[in-house]
Amino acid sequence: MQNRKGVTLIELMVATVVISVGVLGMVGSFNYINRAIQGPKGKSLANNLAQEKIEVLKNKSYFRVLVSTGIAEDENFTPKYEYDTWPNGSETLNVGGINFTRRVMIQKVSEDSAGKLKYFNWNTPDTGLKEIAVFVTWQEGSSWRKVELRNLVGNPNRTNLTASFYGTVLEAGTGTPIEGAIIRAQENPARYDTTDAAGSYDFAAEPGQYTLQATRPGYFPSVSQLYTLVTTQEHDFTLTRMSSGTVNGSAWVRDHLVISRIVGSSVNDSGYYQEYVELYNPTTWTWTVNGDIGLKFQKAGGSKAAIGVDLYVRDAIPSQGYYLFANTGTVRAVGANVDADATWDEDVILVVEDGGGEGAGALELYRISDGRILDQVGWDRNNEGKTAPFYETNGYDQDIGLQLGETYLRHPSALGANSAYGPAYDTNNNNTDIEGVTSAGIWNPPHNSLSAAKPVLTGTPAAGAVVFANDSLSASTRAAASGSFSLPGVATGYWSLYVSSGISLSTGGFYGGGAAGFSASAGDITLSSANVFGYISGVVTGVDGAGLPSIKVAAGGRQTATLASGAYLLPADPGEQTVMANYQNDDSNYIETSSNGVNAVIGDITPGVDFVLLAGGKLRGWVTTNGTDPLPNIPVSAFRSGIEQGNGISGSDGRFLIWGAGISVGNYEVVPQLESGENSSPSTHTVTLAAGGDMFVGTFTIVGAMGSITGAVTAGTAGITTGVLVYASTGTLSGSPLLPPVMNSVTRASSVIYYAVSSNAQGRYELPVRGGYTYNVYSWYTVWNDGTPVTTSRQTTAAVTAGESVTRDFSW
Amino acid sequence: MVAARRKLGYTLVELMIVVAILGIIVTAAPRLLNGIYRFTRMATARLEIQKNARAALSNINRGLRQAQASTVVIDQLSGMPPHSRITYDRYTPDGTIDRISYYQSGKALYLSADGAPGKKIADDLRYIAFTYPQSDNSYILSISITFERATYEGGAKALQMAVEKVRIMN
Repeated sequence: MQNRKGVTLIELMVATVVISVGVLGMVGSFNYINRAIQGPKGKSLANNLAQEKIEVLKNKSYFRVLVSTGIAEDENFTPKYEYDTWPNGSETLNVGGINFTRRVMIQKVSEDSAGKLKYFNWNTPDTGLKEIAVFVTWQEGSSWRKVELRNLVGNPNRTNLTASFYGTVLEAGTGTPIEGAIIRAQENPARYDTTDAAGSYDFAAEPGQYTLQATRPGYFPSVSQLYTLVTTQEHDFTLTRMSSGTVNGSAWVRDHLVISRIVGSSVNDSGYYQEYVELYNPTTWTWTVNGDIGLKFQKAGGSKAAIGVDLYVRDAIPSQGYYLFANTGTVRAVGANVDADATWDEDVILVVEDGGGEGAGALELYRISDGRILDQVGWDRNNEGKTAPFYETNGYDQDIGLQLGETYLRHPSALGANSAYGPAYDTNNNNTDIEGVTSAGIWNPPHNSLSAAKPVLTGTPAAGAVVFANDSLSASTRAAASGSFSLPGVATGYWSLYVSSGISLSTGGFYGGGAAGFSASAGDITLSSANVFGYISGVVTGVDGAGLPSIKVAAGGRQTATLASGAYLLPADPGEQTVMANYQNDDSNYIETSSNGVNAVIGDITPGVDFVLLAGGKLRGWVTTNGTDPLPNIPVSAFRSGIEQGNGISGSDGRFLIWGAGISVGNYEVVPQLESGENSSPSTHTVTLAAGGDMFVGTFTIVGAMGSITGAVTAGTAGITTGVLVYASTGTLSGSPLLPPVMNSVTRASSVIYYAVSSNAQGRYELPVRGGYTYNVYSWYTVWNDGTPVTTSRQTTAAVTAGESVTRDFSW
Repeated sequence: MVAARRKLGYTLVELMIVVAILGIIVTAAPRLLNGIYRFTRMATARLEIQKNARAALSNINRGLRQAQASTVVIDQLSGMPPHSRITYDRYTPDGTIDRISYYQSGKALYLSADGAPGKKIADDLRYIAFTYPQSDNSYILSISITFERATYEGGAKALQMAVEKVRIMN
C-alpha cells in the first residue's frame, strides 16, 4: 500500500521546470509580437517619407528637378539599386525610433512608340520628361527593407513625342539583320535606338524634320533622306560591310634549348669510340650550362640516370649557337676536329654494336634546379620489340636502333634537313622532328659553342596563341596545335598582326590586299619578345558614329592612340583596368570618357571596349547675389532651339560649368533656373560656341535668392522631439499671449511675408527664407498640464544672406 | 508483503530547499509581471499612436489637396497651441461647398464639417501645426503632427510624422 501523500521534491521541481518553460515561451513571444508591430510601422513611416520626397520634388519647377550625375549602388539589396550621390544626395532621418535612409534617382526618360520608358544618360539633351525614383531603406533586425516610389515630371513646355521612326537594318548582299547598329536622328542626338537581334529599331520623336543615320563598326554608315515626320515613318537601311579577307600563318615559340644531334658511337682516326650530344639554342638569350642544365640517359629496360660531366671547358650557349657534350676533348668527324664544350669519360649512350640487345634508348635535357624537362629525344628498336623508355609523343621509329656511325639530327623546319638554318624544329614529336643519318658514317661535323650562329626558322608550335589585328574589323582567333592560324574578317589595307601566347609576343605588319575576300600569308611568326601585357581593343567614335583618329587611349599609365579608323589596341598591365578615351582631354574638342572594370589578361585580348566621345564644348559663368558674393546651388541651363542641351549647378564659389552631348557648336541661351521670388539680371546670356570652345558666358546677378535659418530646439538639456513651431518675418508680432498671425487670404496677400516650419523628431528645424534681410524669429513650445496646454514663446533676430545658413537655437 | 517505505513527511533539508526555490519564484514573479505590464503598455502605446498618426495624417492630407487655396485659414481655438486649426472650403461631388475644419482641442484632434459639432478623430495628440513655408504662396502647405501616449512611470512614447509641402490643387 502506498503511503505517499502530497508531492515529493522531485515532482515539485519538475512542475517548476514545466511552468518556467511556459513562462519563458511567453516572454519569447513578446519579442515576436514586438517585431510584428515594428514591421508595418517601419513600412508605413517609410511610405510617408517617400511620398513626402516625391511631393517636394514635384513642387519644384521642371529644370530644378536635378538629374542624377553621381551614381552609387546599394549593395545591401539583391538586386542592387542605383541611387543619386550628386546633386541630390542621401538623407538620414530618424522617425519613431527607426533610422531611415532616403535616396533619390532622377533620370531623363522618354517614351518609345510602345509607351515604354527609355532611359538616357544625364549628359544627353533634355527629353522633356524626368523620372523620379525615391528609395527609403531601413533595417529591421539584421535584414534590410526598402520602399520605392516612382513618379514622372514633365516639362510643361515640351512637345510630346507623338511621332516615331521604325524600320530594319540589313546587311547589303546577304540580307542578314544587323544587331547593335545605332540609328540616330541627326537633328536631335537624344532621339535614337539600337537595333535588336532581328535588326529592327523603333524610337519616338517630336514631329518635325529629320535625317536618320545608321552606324555600326565594320560597316559603312548610311544616311536617310530628309523626312518630315508627322505620325510614323518607316526607313530601312542596308549597310555595306567593309571589305575583308583572311590572314594565314604559323606561330612558333622559342623558349627552350633543344637536343639537336646525338651520336652514340663513332670511331675516330685514332680508333677511339667517341660519343657526343649537341644542343642548339633557338632563344634570343644566352644559357649557361654548369650547374644549370644537364643530360640524362636511359636505355630500354634500364633506369634513368644523369650523365656526370667531368670538365666544363666553356659554359655559355650563345643565342642561336650550339653546345657540344662528348666523351672526348676533341671530336673528329668528316675530317674536322671540333673541341667539346663539356666532357665525360665513360661510354654512356649505348648502340646496337654494344651487344646485349641494346639500341633503344632516350636522352633528356633538364634544368638542374627543379628537374624541369627542356627537351627529350627517344628512339625505338623495333626488331627486338623495344621502344624508347621516354619520348615526346612518339619515339623515333627505328628498326635496328641507334647504330655505330649513326647520327640523329633535328630538322630546322618541317621541310627536313637544311644545314643553313638552326635545327630548332620541335613539334614535340620525336618521330617527326628527328632524322637518322648513317650514310658516309657521319653526315657533317657537330658544332660547339664557338661555331657560327645559325638563323632559326621555326621552334615549338605556339598552340593556342591568340592572333589578332588592329584593323577594328576582325575578331581574334587562336593558333591550332600545329601552330597554324587563319584570321578571317580582316579589313583591307596595311595592319599590324599580333600573336601572343601568354608571356611571349610577336608583332608584325602585313598587307591585307585591296580586294574583298583576299587571302594573305603572314608566314612563320615567332613569339620571341617577352610580353607582360594584356591587350584591350575597341573603337573610338564621335556621336555621329564616325571613327575618331589620333585619340589618346590610356589605362593604368599605358597609352596608345587610335588609328584613322578610330580603332585602338592598348597593351595594358594585366588585371582590372579603367580605360580612358581622350585621356586628360588631350583633344580639347572632345570630353574624356572612361570605361571601368575592363579585365586585361596577360597575352590575351579583351575586345569591344568601344567609346563614343562627346563634343567637348564648355560653357562657364558666375552666379552672384550682388556682384561680390557668390550664390551657390543655382542650376543654370543651356538651351538650343528651345531644348535644354545641358546644365550646371553653381558651386560654393558661384561658378558653374555646363557640358554634355548637346554642348558643341552653335548658339546657346544660358538661363539660370530660378524659384519664385528670385530675379536674375540679366535673365539670359546668349552665346555662340565654336568647336571645342570653352567659353565664359557671363555673370548672373540674382536677387531674392533663399538663405536659411536653422537650429536646435531643447527643453532643459534634451532635444524637443514633439515639435516646436517656428516663424520668421521682417514684420513684428505683438499681443499677449504672443501668437503667430492668423493665416487667411488677407495675411497671405500682404507685403509682409511670413516663413514657418515645425521642428522635426530630431529636435532641429530648418527654415528657408529670402536672403538679404534681417528677420524676427519666433518660436512656440507647448507642454501639457493634465489636458491643459501651456504654450511659451521665444524670440530672436537673424540677418540672413542669400545662399547661406544662420543658426539660431531655442531652449526652454 | 511489500515493505512500507519508512519515509513519512520531509526532512528539514528538503523543506529548506523547497522554501528557497519558492522564495526565488516569488521574488522573480512580480518583476516578470511588471515587465509584461510595461511591455504591453509600450506596445499598445506604439500601436495606438502609430494608427492615429497614419490615419490622421492621410485624412488631413487627402482633404487638404482638394481645398480651395484662397479659403484656407490657419489659427487656433482659444487657449490651444498656435496654428493648431485649419479651416477651408471644399467642393463636394454634388457641387456644393463644405467648410471643413481640423483642429486640436485638448489632447484630441477633431474634424468638423459645415459648422457641425466637431467629431473626434484621434486621441493622444501632442502637437499639430499647419504652416505655409512661405506665406505669399498659398498653394503649398506643410503639416507636422505628433502623437504621444503615456506608458508607465511617467514615461511617454511619441511619434512625429510630417508632410512637407502639400500642394493644394484648386
